[in-house]
Amino acid sequence: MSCRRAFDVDLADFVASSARPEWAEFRAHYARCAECSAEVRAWTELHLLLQPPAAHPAEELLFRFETERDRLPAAERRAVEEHLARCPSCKDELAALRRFDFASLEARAAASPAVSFAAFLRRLVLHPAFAYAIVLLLLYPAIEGRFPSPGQQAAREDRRTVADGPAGKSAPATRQKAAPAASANLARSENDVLTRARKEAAAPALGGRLGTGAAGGAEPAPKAELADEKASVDSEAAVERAPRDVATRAATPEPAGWKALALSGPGAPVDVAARDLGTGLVLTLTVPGATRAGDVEVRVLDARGGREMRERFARAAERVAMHLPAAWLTPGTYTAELRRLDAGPSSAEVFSFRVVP
Amino acid sequence: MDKDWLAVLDRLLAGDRVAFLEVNRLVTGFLVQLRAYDFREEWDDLRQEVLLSVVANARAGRLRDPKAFVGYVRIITRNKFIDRLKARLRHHEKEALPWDEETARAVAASAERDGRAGELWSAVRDLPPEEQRVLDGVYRQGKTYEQVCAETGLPLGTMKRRLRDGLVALRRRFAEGGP
Repeated sequence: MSCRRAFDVDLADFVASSARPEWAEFRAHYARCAECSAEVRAWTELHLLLQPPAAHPAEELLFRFETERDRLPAAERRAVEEHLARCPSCKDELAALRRFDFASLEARAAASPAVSFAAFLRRLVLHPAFAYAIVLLLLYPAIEGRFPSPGQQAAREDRRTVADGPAGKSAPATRQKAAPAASANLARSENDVLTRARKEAAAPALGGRLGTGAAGGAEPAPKAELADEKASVDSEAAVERAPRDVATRAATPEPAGWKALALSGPGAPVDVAARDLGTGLVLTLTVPGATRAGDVEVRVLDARGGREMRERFARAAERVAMHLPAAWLTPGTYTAELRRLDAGPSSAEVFSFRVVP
Repeated sequence: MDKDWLAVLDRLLAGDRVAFLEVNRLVTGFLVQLRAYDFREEWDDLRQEVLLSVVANARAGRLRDPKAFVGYVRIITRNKFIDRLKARLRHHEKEALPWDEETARAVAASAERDGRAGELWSAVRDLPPEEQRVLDGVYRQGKTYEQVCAETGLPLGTMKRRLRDGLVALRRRFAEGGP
């Protein structure tokens, strides 16, 4: 029951250099082991507390290295190159910069300009359609009174019956279902996070000391603390509920219910949980430089080779996005081949992902 | 000096790439705390999700407090990391994942990290001088093991043993209640 591995290995060495191949087995082990997880956490805290702030190239320099490398002084360029060769997190940051779709960020900004209510009202009133609508509204009783058709008569009768009926029955069923089926999990988590972040800002002295596994187990777990916190801010949560739905949708790069997955190049399959798929998966692939502006085809293949989906994109930009319905994505490994169509035979760029149950 | 995260956020909303890197650097700090790089080399998709959440909440006017901003990014990074880790380990939702519990503790503890670093370095002063010297060289001065060996004249094995002994003593002291 009680695992002793964390006490048998040199954790001081592990927390400082866990990427080394000799630690592969322990890396694969500790996340699932309560004793080892507690020890690794405590040693990591100790290690991070003792360490000075890491010396990474400034963001500005990293950006210049990415965008105008040749214009950097040779010494600066070499220093960044050397740093990137040994710093996975800086490499990861640059990869994120390359793949992030800034256009979508800007498009969203343009789509939701902060228009004042007065300006909105003025625009509405001055629109010609508004004048036509007023005229129609004024004429409607006269027209209807002059040409009563049997259908209109029946409709009027129906309307009266419905209006006289008990409250709550008059609303069509579809209207009751109209609220978007936003992911409850995500909404809840956003609320928890914002509430917790606010509380943390107000009272930063939470948490305990570095503890052993056993001592750590005796501490109140932050999860339970979160639950208490949630109960205590029920009213706040209720106030926030409506805008949170909007935020949840805005935070999702695709229409609600679609899971986004961006792949930038060949590599180990990226896992996607089947339960996260919702309506389906929006698979975004980075188009290699030489292929851009050409016509491309994306072919998604079930690894067993039984099924495939294809989509063609004219004048491909930096990325192409393909929608794969959840019903099609049974658990298993998939490859996505991206091939240029209009430049003779060419080798495909192969990406892969895995749908896990 | 504390960074003005609200100004960074404004620049990010305007599409500034350097601001994007600044928020990502914040995410990196949390990924390191969570030991995320033990499990995967790249967390691009997680960064993207965190960034989109930040942007959405900023646009909705919910990230006005700079301290809440850092806390928000910390927690959202942790939650999204754990989701991915569970998927990677094919872990069932209802079972507890020990590293999930521990990262929750780490997130709670990180809010008071700055003050505790001072306590810890005070405790280092109570260690034997040879252990202090090694800890100081490796951690405070950021030197490599080889550099510390060259300076102290210690063989690598002895230097590493002293480092480990010093860390074990600190670990024990803090586990028992600490200074």
